[in-house]
Amino acid sequence: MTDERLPWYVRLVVGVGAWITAVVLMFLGGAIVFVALEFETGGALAFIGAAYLWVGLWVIRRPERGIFANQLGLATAAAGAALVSGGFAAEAEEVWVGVPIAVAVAAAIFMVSSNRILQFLVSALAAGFFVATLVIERTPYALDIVALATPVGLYLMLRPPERDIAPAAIVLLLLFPLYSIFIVPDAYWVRDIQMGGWIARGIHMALFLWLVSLHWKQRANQGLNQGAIAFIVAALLVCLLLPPGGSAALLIMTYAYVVGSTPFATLGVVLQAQYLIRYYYSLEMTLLNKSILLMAVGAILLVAWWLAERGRKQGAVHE
Amino acid sequence: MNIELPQTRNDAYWQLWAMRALLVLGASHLLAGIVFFFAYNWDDLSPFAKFGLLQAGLVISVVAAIRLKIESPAGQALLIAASVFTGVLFAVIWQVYQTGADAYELFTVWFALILPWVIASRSSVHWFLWIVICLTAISLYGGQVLLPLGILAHDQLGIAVGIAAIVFLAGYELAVLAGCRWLGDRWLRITLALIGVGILFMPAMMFVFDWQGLSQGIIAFVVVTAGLSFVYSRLIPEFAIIAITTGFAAVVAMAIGARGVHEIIGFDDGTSSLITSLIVLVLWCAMLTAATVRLLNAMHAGMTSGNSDD
Repeated sequence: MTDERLPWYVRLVVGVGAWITAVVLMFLGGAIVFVALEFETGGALAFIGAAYLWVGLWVIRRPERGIFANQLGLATAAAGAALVSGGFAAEAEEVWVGVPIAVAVAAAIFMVSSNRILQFLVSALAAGFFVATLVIERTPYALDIVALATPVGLYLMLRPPERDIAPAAIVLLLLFPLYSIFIVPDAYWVRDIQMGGWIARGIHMALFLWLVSLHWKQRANQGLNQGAIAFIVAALLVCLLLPPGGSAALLIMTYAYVVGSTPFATLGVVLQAQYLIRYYYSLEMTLLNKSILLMAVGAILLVAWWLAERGRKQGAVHE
Repeated sequence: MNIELPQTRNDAYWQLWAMRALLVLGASHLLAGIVFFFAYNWDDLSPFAKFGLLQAGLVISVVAAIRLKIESPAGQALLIAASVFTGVLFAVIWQVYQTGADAYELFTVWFALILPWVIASRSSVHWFLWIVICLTAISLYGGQVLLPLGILAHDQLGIAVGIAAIVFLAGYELAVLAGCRWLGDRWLRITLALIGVGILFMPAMMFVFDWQGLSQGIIAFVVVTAGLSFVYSRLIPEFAIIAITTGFAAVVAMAIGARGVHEIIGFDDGTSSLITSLIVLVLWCAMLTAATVRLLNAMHAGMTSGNSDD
């Protein structure tokens, strides 16, 4: 079969079919264990998860496989990983137990499979258990804790180790923006505890400066002109003013610009738009204060754009 | 730390991207701040101030569009903004005067009034906005008038809206055939097909899972998907639409299989029937998906000459 030549939307269509099949398969496994054999423990869940994981990995590792087999194996293995981690957590009746198990399963999958989608899914699973633990345990300074993932992800993206772990690096890089934009604003409990945020801002500012310094060191022909300096000052001010979710999306866009990545550029834009929309409903300050803050950020960015544009035109005239 | 940035980056492109991103980010934050500010003070503004603000936005958009030339990208964007301002203005009139009009009337007046701008802008995005407003008006008219009067049932309304989307798709194809080349963006064709089939998918699924529903749902779905598959495989080759119709049809067939298994063997008649039903369903879903792959592979090979256009 020549499945690999098919457009992405065909793979999506086939993927939907394969994932539906995998869900029915999982119900079948669940029915055998829980209804036929009457095992109703977290351990049984972990056992059936391990079986799914093994079958899924076996399917994915077969050299001759089409899209359907690939997607079916992917869904089965991903569900297996989730069941193993969830099973241990259920057995211990503690969500945090799922974190080390999910990390161990992810590490094992990185060792035995080069399927990047599966690697991404199991990395996201481990991150999901970590975030769920923070939410359920109502951990103070959660924003600052999650922000620690960003420098690790960024470093791994820029300097990949010998073994390809890019999917895990992407998860680490996206963890903070997704957490701060989509989870924190909807969590009613954040009003009762200190969520932090200043360390996250500091991390973003440091990472932004690092990215910019890398860019100007290695692409020296573009020079550090007046416009560039204005841009750096503006970006630092914006990181300082905006809540961490907004500056995290800007950091993703800066990374996209430095390495020239269209997917990350698109993602950064989408995250920033999401951030603006959801910020409207956040309860951390009044609408009036939010409006003043956003207008100030907008004005700073527009001044930076004007100065950078002027610097670019002056540079063009000198050349 | 020895980090090497990729040297294959197109510097000129990314410089331009950065400048545009900075401009758009600045403008969007500033505008969001202004919107937040008015939202904060909205209740305290007099009706005169509210109308004045929206009408000023509308007039400025139209005048700027004319000055920048209506067919330029900036002019088209400004006319789209004027169309949006028109809708918001009607919503505020509706809110301030408590006219008692139904929401469908607001949408009907909206799409009728902006039609000249849509025609003038020659923009596929503007046409798409107009079609979405029309479909919303049809849906609201059905929900607020035809359903309460008992003229239509719930699934029939879904069928009507889905078929309306397909009628717009037919209109699009006729316009392109008639020489409107500026309308010939593939995304509009694909999006209209996706909306139409997606809406018709719901009544079809309602029929499958609830025999009490109307059979028109499944009939309309089958007729439309078969018709689209014929047109876009034989007359106007467009593989993306074939993939859409095949994908939705496969999911409906899976649902029919689930329903059939439930009727014949049953999911709740004891352990053995549950496990047998699930085994049959797994095989049915796997067979359908494998058949979908084979069908799409064959059609893709037949419709392209080796180069994927996607």
